[in-house]
Amino acid sequence: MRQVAAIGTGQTKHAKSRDDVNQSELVREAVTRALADAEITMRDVDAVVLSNMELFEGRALPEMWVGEGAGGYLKPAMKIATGGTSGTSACIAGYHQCASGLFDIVLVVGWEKHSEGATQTGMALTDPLWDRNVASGAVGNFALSISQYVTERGVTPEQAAKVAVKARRNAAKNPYAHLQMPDLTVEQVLASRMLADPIHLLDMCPQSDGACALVYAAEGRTEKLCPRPAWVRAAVTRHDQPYIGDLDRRLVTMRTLRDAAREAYKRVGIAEPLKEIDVAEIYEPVSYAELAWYEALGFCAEGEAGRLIDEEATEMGGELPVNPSGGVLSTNPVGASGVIRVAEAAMQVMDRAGAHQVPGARTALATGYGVYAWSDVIILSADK
Amino acid sequence: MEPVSILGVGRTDYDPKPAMAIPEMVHRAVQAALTDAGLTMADVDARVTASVDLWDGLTASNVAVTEVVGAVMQPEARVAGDGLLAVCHAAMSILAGAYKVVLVAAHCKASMGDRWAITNWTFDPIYQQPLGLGDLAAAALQASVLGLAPPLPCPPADGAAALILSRSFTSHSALHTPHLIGLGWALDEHYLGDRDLADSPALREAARRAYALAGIADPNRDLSFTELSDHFDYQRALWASALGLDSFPSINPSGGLAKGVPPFVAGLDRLVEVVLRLRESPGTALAHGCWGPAGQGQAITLVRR
Repeated sequence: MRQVAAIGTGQTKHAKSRDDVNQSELVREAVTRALADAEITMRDVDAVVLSNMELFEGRALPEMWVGEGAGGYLKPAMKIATGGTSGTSACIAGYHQCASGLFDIVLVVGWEKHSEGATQTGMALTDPLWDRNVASGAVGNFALSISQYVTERGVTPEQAAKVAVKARRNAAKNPYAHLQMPDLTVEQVLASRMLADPIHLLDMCPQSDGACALVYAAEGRTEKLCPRPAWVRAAVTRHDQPYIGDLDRRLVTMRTLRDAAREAYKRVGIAEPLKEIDVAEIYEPVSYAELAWYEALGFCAEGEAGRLIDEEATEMGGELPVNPSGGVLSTNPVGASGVIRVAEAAMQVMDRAGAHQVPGARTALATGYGVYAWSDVIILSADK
Repeated sequence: MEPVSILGVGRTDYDPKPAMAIPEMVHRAVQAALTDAGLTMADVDARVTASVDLWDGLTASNVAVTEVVGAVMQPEARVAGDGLLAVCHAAMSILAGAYKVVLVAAHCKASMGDRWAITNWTFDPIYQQPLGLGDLAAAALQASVLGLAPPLPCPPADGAAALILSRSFTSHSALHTPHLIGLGWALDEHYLGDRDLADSPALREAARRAYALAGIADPNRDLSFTELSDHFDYQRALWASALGLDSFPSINPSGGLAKGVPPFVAGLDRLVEVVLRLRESPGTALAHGCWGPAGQGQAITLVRR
């Protein structure tokens, strides 16, 4: 397989509402920064892969309009959309397109402008016969699965709140993050409004307007363009049953993430992920999910996720900092969120993460999460 | 490019199917393709599906087909666009070495959706959508630029198509199995006022790339026949011209889309048609797909047997 690396990234300022720009201009903002970061121009880009969940804005084929903002005019451009994993799946698609030998430089662009749509309506448009009435959007279905998870694994509301605090404090050092709360406390999270037991308002991700772009280059070009690229070492996708009732203890098993991570670790030769991975950017739509993902990703044994957060192992300065960017809990433009995970992981490996840089990071993990239990796992490394 | 084998094809009938749900349609097409290839789902490494959320009334509309394309605990990507674009992506993931055997499936229930409303929501919300444009209005404009009367749309239809691609292992197989030998796709301008509707620079660009990959210097000489996505009657001549085909004799021997083929299945259906015809008689053929207002998105694949 031809080697491929990330050589540049760009993000917009993410916010509750970016009413200063339209969708195409929003995308343009991220693309311009990514091209500048990669020190190339749009003319150098061979193909564009887009990511967006069109029902959140209610548009059909949004790339028709927004594709121009991404530089897609008269270029090979296609949109990948798989729910929450759209961004990571687009990053995997862009990686494969670059590795195919057909293109040397591929641009991946994800965006969402939740302020222009009705997110809950989009979330509830699942199977109309069996699922729509019970699904009730992300908060409702997570409350069901989290209740099951905390019963089996003994995770406490305080431990979940620590995840929420870590995310918003980390975000305070990320200039592009949406929710920046440097002084947030566990008590404040627990005192915030109950959405659906046990999920408090501050346990949940926000809805953001934002875009993120990532530039890949194939080996040969990469070395000339970037002194410290982030090489893609593994990219694995696993989907699962689309009906929530068919999933066996969803967050407890999270078998897609477990299986995708095992496969990715095997390819890279990682035996002890907590020790061997330097930084992780994981897609945690709700505080409790991050704890469940620790177990599925093998950062700790089953039932040990609460201990991991108590011991601050995943804080900045811990053994494996998780989501230095502030994660999805701080910034969530859905179609961009997966691209942000991969871009932030790449920034860490490239030593370009600024105030939220993990010193000396060489191996980074990025994950995507979507639908009820779909997963993507990507590993980037300073080593080819 | 290195050729990619097309091992099997399958499709449903295309007509309104009020009594058949999306997964049932896709199941039939996928099973037909597996049977055609002599494979089972266990032989498939990954899938690329194609569907459009607004037509399905579903967010992440591949949730409807996860089980029937065999994606439980398996890799799947979904292209929000024509099935021929999904073929292009699937072929690239094979060329990359990521997978050996990839299933492609596309579906649409056009009889279920409000065509004007859905295609109106394809236009930018500031300048064009408020004018009330839909795909029929864009086509009428394109026809008028060509000096033709407003076209009649193909009848709405429901259906699915599927195709199985594989890494090409032996030169022997190249003699008997149709192979993908070229791919190309591109987007045109979005604003109708910025476009030359009497031409298709996006299709010219897609063709330039695909011909170069396949080593085709003169399509009029090197192609045996083409299957074009003529969503409207007038488009056949327009696409043929953009493909560099001058008085080319064999365009749409199948009869094209006039009988009613669902959008987003259409391009993949053209490729299925090409494969079936090449199995009867060897040669090099072109399958074309387009989507969006007046064919803003364009894709072609070249197949040789």
